[in-house]
Amino acid sequence: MIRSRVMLAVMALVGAIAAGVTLQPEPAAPGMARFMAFDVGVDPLGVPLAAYQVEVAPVEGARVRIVGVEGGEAGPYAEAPYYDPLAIQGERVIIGAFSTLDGERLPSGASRVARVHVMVESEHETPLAARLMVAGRVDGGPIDARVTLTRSRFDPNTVPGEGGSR
Amino acid sequence: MDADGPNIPRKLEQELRSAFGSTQPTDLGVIEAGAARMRAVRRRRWALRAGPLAAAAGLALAAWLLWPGAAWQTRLDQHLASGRPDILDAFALARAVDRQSPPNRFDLTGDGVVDRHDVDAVAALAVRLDGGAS
Repeated sequence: MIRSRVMLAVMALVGAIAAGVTLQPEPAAPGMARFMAFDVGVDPLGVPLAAYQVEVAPVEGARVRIVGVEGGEAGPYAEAPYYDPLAIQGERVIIGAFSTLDGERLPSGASRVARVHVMVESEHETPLAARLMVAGRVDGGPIDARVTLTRSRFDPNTVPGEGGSR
Repeated sequence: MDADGPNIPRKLEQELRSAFGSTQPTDLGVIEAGAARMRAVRRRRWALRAGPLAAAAGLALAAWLLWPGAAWQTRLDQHLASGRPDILDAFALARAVDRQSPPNRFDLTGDGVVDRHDVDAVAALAVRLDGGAS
């Protein structure tokens, strides 16, 4: 009799533990981090783009780490832009570049000037936002420009991203 | 002999008149002499006024020609003093390095020459995260 009661108690305890475990909210799985790449675009609205400076930072609640910065499409901004090496493994980066080429060799329409690689640890599909700090024309004067940040078609899971500060 | 004139031979009188003209001033002569004098005075006054005006115009032209260079230098000086240059400062210094001899005070690396390394130094300040440009 006593033995059966003990058995019942043990089974109840095991059941309660099992139920408790299954009812606990699932913790963030360590393997949930994703690697993503985002293209930084600048549209100087018809004026040859001689210089730009853009801040890329996480949106509210996003958990990201910058893992690399590379240059843009072929042309004057193909090389990696200037950025602070301390930004790597951080969540915010300021990128900037310029070109002393003649105006006709500079982009005057929308173009990809850089690509930022990040490790994302939250559910955000677009965990970053870009803000134009300054853009300049050939004579060094400031200009209006539109900055965009779009998910890159480049898949960082298949080809390692190239980074590097200059 | 002429009763009104001096008692000199007519030939001598004619020679003297041809050499020196009439010795008698007329009203018209006085007026013409005065007008000529006033024209000279006006010319002198105009020259006195135009001189400083021309100098001022020359200075303005020189300032206008030199202003773009001076503007970027002033901007970079101010931004370096505040520790917050931006990429346009680096770009301006790069253009100066390419096209002319920038002032030695922009030798940020201290290697005795203002060159691309100094441009890189300004750009690095522009993108730095610890209180850099925002």
